[in-house]
Amino acid sequence: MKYSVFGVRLAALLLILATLYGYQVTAADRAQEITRVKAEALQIRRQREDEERERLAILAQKYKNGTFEGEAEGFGGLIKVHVTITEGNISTVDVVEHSGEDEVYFGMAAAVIEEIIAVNDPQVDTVSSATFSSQGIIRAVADAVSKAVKA
Amino acid sequence: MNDSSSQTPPKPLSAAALKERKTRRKMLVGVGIRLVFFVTMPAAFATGFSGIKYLMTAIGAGESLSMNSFVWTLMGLLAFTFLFGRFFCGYVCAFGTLGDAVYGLSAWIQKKVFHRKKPLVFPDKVYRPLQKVKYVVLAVLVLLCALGSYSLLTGWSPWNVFSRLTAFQWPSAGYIGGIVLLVLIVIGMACQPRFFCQFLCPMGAVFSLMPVLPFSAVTSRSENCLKGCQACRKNCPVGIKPGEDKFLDGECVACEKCMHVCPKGNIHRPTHKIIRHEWVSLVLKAVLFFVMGVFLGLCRFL
Repeated sequence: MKYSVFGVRLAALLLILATLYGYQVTAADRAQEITRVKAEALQIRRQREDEERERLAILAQKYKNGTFEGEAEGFGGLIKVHVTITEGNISTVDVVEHSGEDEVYFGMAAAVIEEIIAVNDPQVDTVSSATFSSQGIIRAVADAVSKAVKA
Repeated sequence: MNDSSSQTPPKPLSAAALKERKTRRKMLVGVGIRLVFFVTMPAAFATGFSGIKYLMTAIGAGESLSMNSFVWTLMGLLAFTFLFGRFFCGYVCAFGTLGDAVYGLSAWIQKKVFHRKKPLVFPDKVYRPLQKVKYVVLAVLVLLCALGSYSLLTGWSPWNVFSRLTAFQWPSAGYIGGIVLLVLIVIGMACQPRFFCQFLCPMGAVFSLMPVLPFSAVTSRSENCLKGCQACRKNCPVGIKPGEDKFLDGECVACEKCMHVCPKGNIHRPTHKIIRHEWVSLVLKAVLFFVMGVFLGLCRFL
């Protein structure tokens, strides 16, 4: 590559990186603001929830306590999970088998676990670009949870 | 006739025979490297592009960016290209290797079955315009991500279908569009070397715009060229003459074929002054990429 072409391209690359950095700084500020507003909203919601605690406590007890096994087809093979339910809520999800998955995709897909625990339900969205692996985890958890559903 | 040839006394290898042996050894090493990466990291190219898709989707939605494993992979691929040229495209990318294999098979069939002296290639007139198509592909995909409408293309990605096949899984029925595109691409691969890489690959479009350190790019001393000699360009899978088509240098996929066909030995990589054996330099780059790939989580087995 000629030095002149290299110089022009390097300058363009640096410009793109600088733009991305600038974007990131602004977006991070905005994200912080959003987090603050959300935290406030959450506090208000918590207060309301406190008032309805008894009703919610009954609702939240969706599942039987215990550890349940579940499995489903992922990207390149079976994904097996152990789902632990304490006090009627999904508390931990351990993936015990994922040998068919590409590590880089599986790492991204594992984000669904946090979401499943947060909403206490395996019905969550898949991770884009890691559809098969995240779908596998979601279905495996759903399989485990189906064994814990109260009749 | 047999007698006369058997009577010639055994001589030390001529310069031409030495060159032939060197080329052969390097070619075998190259095929070995491609095979290893094809088996261990078949999804590397799609993962790098997932990094771009993620960045554009996040920017389109106004979210802050996080350093996830897709972005790390993208940065790894770009950094490697910056340092060593498009070695990734030439030797690591599974789609590039698929293209080489399909074209190699097609050229062999054309020679043996149809007795064509020269295998098919695209005519010059359609060649350059087609090389621009990949920028359109990149622009469309990036725009769809930024607008949050990438899901419109679900089932149409030939990369998805290919990655399912490398995991020995049949793509599901929803992937008819992707299967059709993949079949068309394979047909294209049989008619032109590096068909997908140079005409359609959105990741190739990004790589071809990257700066490459001048002392690791292929250069030629064209002032020493034989008059009218086009051996390098004719044998180049992407149709360039190193150093002459200066704005097309980014198309170079670092296959180094031109070095072997140049009758004057004009073409070389400056780094080869440090590492004398070209095949050693190939192996070193491959090992370096492999280590990086394992750290990025691209390897299927480690």
